[in-house]
Amino acid sequence: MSYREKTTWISLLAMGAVYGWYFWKVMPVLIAGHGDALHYAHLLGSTIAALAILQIIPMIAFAAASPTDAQAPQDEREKLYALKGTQAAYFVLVAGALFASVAGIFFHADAGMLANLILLSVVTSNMAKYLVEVAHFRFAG
Amino acid sequence: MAAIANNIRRLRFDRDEMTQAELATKVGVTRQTINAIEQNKYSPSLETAFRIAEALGVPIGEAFSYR
Repeated sequence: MSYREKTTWISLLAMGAVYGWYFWKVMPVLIAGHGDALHYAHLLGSTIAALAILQIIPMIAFAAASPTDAQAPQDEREKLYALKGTQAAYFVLVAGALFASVAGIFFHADAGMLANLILLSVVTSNMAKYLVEVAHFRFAG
Repeated sequence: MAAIANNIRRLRFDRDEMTQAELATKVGVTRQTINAIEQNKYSPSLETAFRIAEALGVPIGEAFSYR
């Protein structure tokens, strides 16, 4: 497994675990309609810190294990897979933005709900990017 | 899938059993990319195909063919 594939797996798993936990905590509060902005900010701060730690430590370990691979620029195959991932992420992000708009217009979602729906769109689009990339690394070669 | 076939594996062994990693370094790609090309899972760009042929010291038509 290449350095680039390992770091993509780490990003996918860390993001899934950390934001999975965040939305597990926040969504019931939002749906019940009694969340406050400070609560979200505190949880989001913890989430971002956890994500940074979970991504940075393994990446440092992988880079230390194979420093040449870590310093090498992306080659054409890795760039192609990253572009395919970005293409998939675009469609997920657009779908998420439309869903958030519909929630705001037709269901009168409050600011906290809208902010979290947009954050959910960003997170799922990033995860779609990583998922498409690892799928290409695993199955396309 | 791949209509482009290659003889990279044979050509590497003809050149003192050059490893995938050595070829990858000469070409400027990762070892995994050379492996994917050898297994016909990834078709390289024309530029990379020329670089591979050059690194193996053969004309591009000997390293790659279209079928």
